[in-house]
Amino acid sequence: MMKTSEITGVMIQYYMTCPRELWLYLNQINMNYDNDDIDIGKLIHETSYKREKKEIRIDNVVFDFIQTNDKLTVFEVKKSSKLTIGAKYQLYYYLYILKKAGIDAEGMLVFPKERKRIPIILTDEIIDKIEKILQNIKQIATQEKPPQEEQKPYCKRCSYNELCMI
Amino acid sequence: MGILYRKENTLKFKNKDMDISIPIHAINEINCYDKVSLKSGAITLLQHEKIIVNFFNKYGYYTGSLYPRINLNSGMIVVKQALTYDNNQKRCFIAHEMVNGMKHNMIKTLKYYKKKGKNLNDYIEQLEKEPILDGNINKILSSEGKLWQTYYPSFNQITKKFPIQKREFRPPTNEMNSLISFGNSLLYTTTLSEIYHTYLHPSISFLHEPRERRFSLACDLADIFKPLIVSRTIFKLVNTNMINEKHFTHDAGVYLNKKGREKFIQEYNNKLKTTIKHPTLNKKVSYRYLIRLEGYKLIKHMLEDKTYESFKTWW
Ligand code: SF4
Repeated sequence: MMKTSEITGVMIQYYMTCPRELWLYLNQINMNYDNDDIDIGKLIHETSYKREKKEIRIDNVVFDFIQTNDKLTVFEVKKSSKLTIGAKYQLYYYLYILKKAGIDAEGMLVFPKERKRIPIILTDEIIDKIEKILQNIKQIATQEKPPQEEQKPYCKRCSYNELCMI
Repeated sequence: MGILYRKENTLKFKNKDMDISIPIHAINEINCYDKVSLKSGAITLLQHEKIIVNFFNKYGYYTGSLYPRINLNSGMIVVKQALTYDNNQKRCFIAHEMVNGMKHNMIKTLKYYKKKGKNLNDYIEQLEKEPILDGNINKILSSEGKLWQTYYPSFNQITKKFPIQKREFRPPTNEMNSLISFGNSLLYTTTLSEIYHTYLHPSISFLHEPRERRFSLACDLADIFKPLIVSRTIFKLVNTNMINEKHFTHDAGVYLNKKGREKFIQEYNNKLKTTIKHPTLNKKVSYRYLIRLEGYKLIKHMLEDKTYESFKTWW
């Protein structure tokens, strides 16, 4: 059984966008080996926020943060706001981990290309949701078979597209 | 004769006439038909860029590959692949379906030439009624053998020259057999490259025995595509006279000479690049890519995600 501490932000993101994608990822079936999306993300990350950037690591989660007055704000830089739901929950998850560690923080999703920022605040309701999600992720990790694919608009850009549609 | 070497991050090839760069990001694999030496720098670069290098002897026979480290590794898939092989029923299901696809593609190929006015009715009928036995792998394999035996003589109706009575391997004693052998070995290496880009292990096969010296999964998948890719390349080459008597040498057998191999490879590569609209992917894919998709289908089958249906020409 997977431990909660093994759950990463990426898994949360995948879970929110597509449980099948999460299952494939958890079973080390990766299709984006010749897809440079990841590198582009990294590049934006490295060049856009040089001055403010600091990294912290809790368990296996790494994120950027900035101290404003006495409040901690966690920043997550994203390439495009199209996939907000996954990114949002990834950030909620970071805030959740911080809260467990006794740190109250707020989040900020940043889309440098679109000059857009979305503040993220962890509420009790969201905490419940996150805990549900963590349970579900562990459950998916134990499944023998991948969850069936479901056609959604995101599929077009998903690296598993051909594996799913063939 | 030549040397593959590395200069900074470029792969270079030199022989007595030339010294050229090979665009490593634009190639799928490297096939060596003459003596080629690889410098260790080149090997490191090829491994890093995940390019397979295949070697052929002077007759154009495949002799082996420099296969890069396994790049996509999912322990779970290899385990499932091995378990599928080890279970007679599961193995036979896949093997049978592969032969089924092969048969379909043979018939489709002949029907295509029938439309062009070739007298192929008898062969088509015979193939159609040829049963694919089931139950154990030997029965399936013998059905496969019979299908090829029926299929190859039909070439005499399609091509204007180079008659074939039966398939001969080592050495091929006539031109058509040598064309088939050469084409099959090309398709084998293409298939191997495509398998490399899936999670499948190239040594665990279903139709062929994994005990064979070669990467037997490539033999499995190549069989399905032979009628579409190899046969049709041959028909084109022979019927348009692109390959004729002067492209063969008669040695201990009959073989394509250098010029003949060049012509063949060129036409073969054109065939691989041919695209076709895929019904479920909703886009155009090349014949080469169809082979990789076949690998994906096997993965899905083994994950119990979707039952395997072999490639059958749908156009
Ligand atoms: S293609 Fe669609 S169904 Fe398949 S993993 Fe991606 S999002 Fe999920």
